[in-house]
Amino acid sequence: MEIGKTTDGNAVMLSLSGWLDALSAPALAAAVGEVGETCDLVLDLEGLEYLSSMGLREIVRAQRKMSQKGSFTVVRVPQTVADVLRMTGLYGRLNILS
Amino acid sequence: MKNKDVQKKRKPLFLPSVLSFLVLLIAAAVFGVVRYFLLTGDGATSREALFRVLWETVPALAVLLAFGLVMLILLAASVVRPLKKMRTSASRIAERVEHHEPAVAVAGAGCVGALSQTLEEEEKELSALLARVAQQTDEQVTEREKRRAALAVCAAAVPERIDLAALTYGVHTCTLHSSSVGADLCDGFALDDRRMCVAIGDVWERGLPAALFSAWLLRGLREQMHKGRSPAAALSALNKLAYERGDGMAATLFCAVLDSVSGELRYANAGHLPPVVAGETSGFLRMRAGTPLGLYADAEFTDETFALRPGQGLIAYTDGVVNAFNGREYFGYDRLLSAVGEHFGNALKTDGVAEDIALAAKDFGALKEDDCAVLALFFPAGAHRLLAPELSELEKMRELLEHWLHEDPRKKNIELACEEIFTNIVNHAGAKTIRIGCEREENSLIIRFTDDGEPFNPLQAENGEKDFYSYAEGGMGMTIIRRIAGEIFYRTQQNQNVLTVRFPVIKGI
Repeated sequence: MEIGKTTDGNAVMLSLSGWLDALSAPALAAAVGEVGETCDLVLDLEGLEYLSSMGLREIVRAQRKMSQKGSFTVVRVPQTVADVLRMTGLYGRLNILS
Repeated sequence: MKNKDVQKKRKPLFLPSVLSFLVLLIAAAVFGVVRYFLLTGDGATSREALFRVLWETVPALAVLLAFGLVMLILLAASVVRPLKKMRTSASRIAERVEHHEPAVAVAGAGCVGALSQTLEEEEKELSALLARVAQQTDEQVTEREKRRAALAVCAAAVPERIDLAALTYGVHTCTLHSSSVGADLCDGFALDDRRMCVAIGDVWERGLPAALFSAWLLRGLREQMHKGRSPAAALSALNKLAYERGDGMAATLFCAVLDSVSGELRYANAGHLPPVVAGETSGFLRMRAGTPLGLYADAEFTDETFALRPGQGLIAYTDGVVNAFNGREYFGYDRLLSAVGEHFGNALKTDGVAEDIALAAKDFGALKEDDCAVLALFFPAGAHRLLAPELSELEKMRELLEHWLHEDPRKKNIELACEEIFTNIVNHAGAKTIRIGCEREENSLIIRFTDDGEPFNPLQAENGEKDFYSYAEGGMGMTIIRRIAGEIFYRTQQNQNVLTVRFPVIKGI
């Protein structure tokens, strides 16, 4: 999986592409770890081909981290990834902009 | 003494009589008082009332008392007299015994004499019986100990826990020991990541020596095969060793190596019964008989090959199976073939085939004389791979699935479910090896995960609605698996966790 990072003022966008699975989840955790708690974090999933529960866990962790002082938005969710989010009942829980 | 005794006897009768007399008096008094007040209430003078009451009460009381007395006398006649009589008889008997009076002693001498004589005889018989029992018990204990020792050796020689690699190729064994422990030998082990060796044999001895020889042979065979020898070369080397050092012991042994990729079965035989090739139709494997190990220094063994087709299997057995006897007939080869046909079912059912066949023979006739062992080797019609319990092995697993699923539209979902199961096992089971096996059954895909970790049933893990943020701790894996898979089964088998997932033809998200 590749993670692209774009910063615009207080907003940080992480663009994920490839497979977010048990192997690559720690990379996302590290990337989110570098982002401050007060910023607006945007997760761009357009290039994501695959998502497993280990990846989902990191997304929920990111949401929890940003919920206090910042904001967390998921954008451009591909169909296959959306399917996994729906399957696990997380689609409605995340702040998703399509 | 005598009076005192009699008084004692009377005491129980005396008390009730006094009590009943008192009750009668009280009843009469109560009746009198009530009657007196009733009469005075009706206008009679107290004097008239008193006379009237006395006139009514006293005669009735007298009659009742008379009746009571009669009853007492009758009671004494029926109970006390026989008791007194018994007592007198008893004291008379006691006196006679004390003074050795002949009237009793004559009869007694005969009886007691005869009795004591009988007792002496019985004592002798009893001692003999006890001695016999003690001897038998000793023998039984020794036999039991010997059997236990032999079983312990058998157990040590053939690990009950066939290694995971062996299970990968569907190797299952079942040994039923007879009372004398015939020391059948049965083994299955991986040679490398694609070849699997199985062996079955029968030592021509019983008990502890047979068990020890069997253990020695199995160890030797593993050594030879791990050196890279062919089955025939290994049997040759073992025959030489057995001939030189086996102290006249002999054993039959069939040894085969299955290439799990090509299905090629390479085998050699040392006088063992021909195994059954099981599949849609079953028949005996053609092979040279060879010579039992340990009998001839110059015995020769030949490697032969047979190509197992996907879905076929090999059922090897010992003579205890075909020789099971029900009193009229032997289990025999025809029944063996029928049992194989009956029990060698589809991929999901092969696990118990060895046990089913062994039990079929056992149920047919008691295994009095010989052990009964069955070994089943299955060449699955799918793909399988052994994985280390590390997340980095995910790549290997995907490679296998990609290769096996080709352009299957369910590929991504199946991969996802498999990743969830795999990470679950890696995180929870503490396994050393994980095996994934894929098979097709009609339109369903069956993927089976086997691991040697602690017993862990992921299906019993929490599956309820959770607080959103608790998902940050994980726990979505099972949700995903359940949504994608059609059916999931968990069981433990030979100390392994086995999770079988069936993916039906169409299962939308």
